[in-house]
Amino acid sequence: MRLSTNLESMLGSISACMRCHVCTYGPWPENYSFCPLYERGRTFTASAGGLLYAAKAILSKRMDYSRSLADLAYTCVACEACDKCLVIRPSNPLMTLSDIVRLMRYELVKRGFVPEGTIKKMYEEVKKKGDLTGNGRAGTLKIPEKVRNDKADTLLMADGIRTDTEVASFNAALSLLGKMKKQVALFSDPGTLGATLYDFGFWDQLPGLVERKWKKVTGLGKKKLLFLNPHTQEFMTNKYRKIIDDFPGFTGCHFSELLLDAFNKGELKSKKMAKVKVSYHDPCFLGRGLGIYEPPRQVLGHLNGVELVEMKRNREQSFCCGARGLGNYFADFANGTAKERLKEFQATKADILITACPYCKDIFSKNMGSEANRVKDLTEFVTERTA
Amino acid sequence: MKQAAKPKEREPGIFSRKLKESLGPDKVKDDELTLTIYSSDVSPVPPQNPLCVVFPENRDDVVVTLRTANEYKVPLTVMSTGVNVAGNCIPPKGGFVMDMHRMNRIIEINTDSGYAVVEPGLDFNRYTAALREKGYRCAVPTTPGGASPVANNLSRPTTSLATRHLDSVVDLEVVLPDGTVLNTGSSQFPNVGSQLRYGPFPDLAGLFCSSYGTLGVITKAALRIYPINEANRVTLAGFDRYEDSVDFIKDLINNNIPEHCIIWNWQFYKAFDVGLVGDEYRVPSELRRVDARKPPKGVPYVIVTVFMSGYEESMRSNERVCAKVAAKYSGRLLTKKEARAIAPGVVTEWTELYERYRTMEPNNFGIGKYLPWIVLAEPGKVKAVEKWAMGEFAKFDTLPVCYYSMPFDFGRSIMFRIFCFPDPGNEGLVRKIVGKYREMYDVAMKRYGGVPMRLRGGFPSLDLVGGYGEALKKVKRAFDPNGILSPNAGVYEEVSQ
Repeated sequence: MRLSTNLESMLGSISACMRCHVCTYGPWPENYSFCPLYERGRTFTASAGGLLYAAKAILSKRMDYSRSLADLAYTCVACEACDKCLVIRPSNPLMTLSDIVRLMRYELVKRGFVPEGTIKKMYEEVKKKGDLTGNGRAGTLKIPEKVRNDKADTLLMADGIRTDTEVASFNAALSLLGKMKKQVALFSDPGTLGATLYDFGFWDQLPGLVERKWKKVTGLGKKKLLFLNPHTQEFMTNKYRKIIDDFPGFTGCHFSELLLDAFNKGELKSKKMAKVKVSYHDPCFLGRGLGIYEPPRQVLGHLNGVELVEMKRNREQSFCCGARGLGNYFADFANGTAKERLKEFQATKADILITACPYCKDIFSKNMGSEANRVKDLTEFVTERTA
Repeated sequence: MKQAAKPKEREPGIFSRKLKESLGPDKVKDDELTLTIYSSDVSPVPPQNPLCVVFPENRDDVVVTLRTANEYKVPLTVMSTGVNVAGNCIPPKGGFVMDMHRMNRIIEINTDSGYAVVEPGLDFNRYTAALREKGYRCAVPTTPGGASPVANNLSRPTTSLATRHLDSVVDLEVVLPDGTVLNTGSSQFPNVGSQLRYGPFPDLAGLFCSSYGTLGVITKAALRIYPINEANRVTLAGFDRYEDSVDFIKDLINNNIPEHCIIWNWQFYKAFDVGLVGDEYRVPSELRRVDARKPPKGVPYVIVTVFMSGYEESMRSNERVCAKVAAKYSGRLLTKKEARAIAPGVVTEWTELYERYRTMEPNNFGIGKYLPWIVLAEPGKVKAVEKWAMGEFAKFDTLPVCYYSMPFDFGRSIMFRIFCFPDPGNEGLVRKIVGKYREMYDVAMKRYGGVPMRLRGGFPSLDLVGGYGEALKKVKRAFDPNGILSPNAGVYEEVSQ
């Protein structure tokens, strides 16, 4: 593990926080608010800076780890918007502000402070199995013969598929691969590639799992990894090197980039369809995490009759969907955050909300109620509108 | 002066409960996490948990909070945005904090008269962006963009950047402990805006400037704003002696050339963009070894940044004047290329700040692991202050020694702000330096006529300033008879704690 695993070693950088609130809003001149925690609480406590001050108090023995701190630390969505802070620059250059928040979660886990609910269930499973396999559907995925080719250079990462949304997105991707006449090999190992363990502070099990998974991936000897889930892609791209010594890196591609390439090469063609207005929600880990802002928009631009209307907060200044805010500091925080974002979508008067992350799609659909079908994954939307 | 009145009710939690009943639970927090997080700031001032933290959303909330605090005699510490506070937002024992961050509206930008009416929770980032949209700018202090324009303009030393004026306050809306609401400027009259600081009556705004929240709570302020002219320039001039740079800026001011000037010593401009960050000192090692009074060959002892704005034609002629005046005082203008070769980070920052009027990103400048010592003295005397202070700081053995210095009120006074970087973990050294600072304030005043600017934990006491102190204490008693307002701000030493 190359990440720092002891909060005490971060005291110097933690003490540098000067409450400037820059962790809660975007760059000049728009300065849009982009921290869901702060948006809800509107106190310094409910911000990355607040968590640093709590850490400082713990390290100076003015406070102890507690259940309420765990609830706050896990209510943070860890969307990495706060990583633009220039003040918190730890001596371990691999650590970012949001890594410190995750390290704090690890310290809480070590002491048994794991919030009740989803996180607790996940932790129990990780403790028992060293991974999250749960109702994983990796083994049940069906891939058409014309798409699957175990000798193909590209490996479609289909690990950790658990929900109907993920299955739907996966199936849409397979349909599009068929249309593009592309073949892929499949990585459908049960369990996760580690992003969830990393995010939620289950770090005791993390290095072993990551090394095992990386060995399996490299064992397949593929040239390119193709991702549907931005959390997995961002984690492997940016975080594996923080965990594995001498990580060599890899060539990765998000499905939206593959689609764009296919449109540009004429491998994928739009159908003539009725006009529709759409808005695109930047998933945090695809956008801020990987810098993939334009390809999904450019894909939408290739679709006949589609007009893209931007939400006020977009690209680097996008506002998280809230799906990973699973602590109990605020009641129903994840849904409340999604509702905030949906208000912005409704203000665009667009017909459809497009996203490219299964967690975003899930929580938006849930909070759209009877209009859940107005939320679509990019793969599904492109499938509908291509020949 | 009398001690602060004893709290009326000692039952734990009753004050917070009362406030929650009046304001609603969302505006009053007293959970352990919030109390701990609001107990400290980035300064070395010892932490102190408040009884509760109140988050008012409008003036009425402030009135209710103040009346309740007055009734229960619970001391109040006001925090605007909590940045650039140097311990001033840490409450006294048994006190509470009022965080104004939710009152962050820009109520009016009056480009005709040249003022903006804003709330105290607004920060410079949003303020400068909104002004810029209207083609206007404001005085930007040397603080990160998260700081409050209202709070920084109220504490005069930090507000004078990019303006010729001593302070930028035109009009204030103030709530007193008994709930009285007053407007200090022309908005006190029906249907009149905030364009006049004072007219037929005495200037009450002055009472609240540099009062550090001890006389009332500011809920709204009208602040001076300035048009962004056709051309904006930062011209740089290097000098080998501080005293020459002071003469240079006085000459420029007397000839109506700059909007403002700042003198930066070499260790500051060299360390500006690297500083003390994260877990370690990242100041280049040569700055930590070399006597701050002796820069290496080819490195100017000080650089003066001259900020000018106007028409393009006048900028060109002003730059020629700057070159002539610099030569007159044994200095020379530096091209940006030359300056970048010496200190790349700071040139970028100066350009952003003063040519684009963009607020600063937080960097080492605002981190707060430094200990500042600040005085204002007449131009002739400040030269001696610099020489003497540099000698004293050399004894601390906490290199680098950084300072900046700038004219106030058209150069009637020159501010000299110097700081060192003791290891924050070395509490003994920090205490020793703070103690030394007190002695230095005393010497600076007696020997050089230097007036200190920051009050908390420092110098002077009102007892030292004769009739002025007596009069101010009378005002304090009249406005705040129970001594609930910022008792530990260090202004009225007798009523604190």
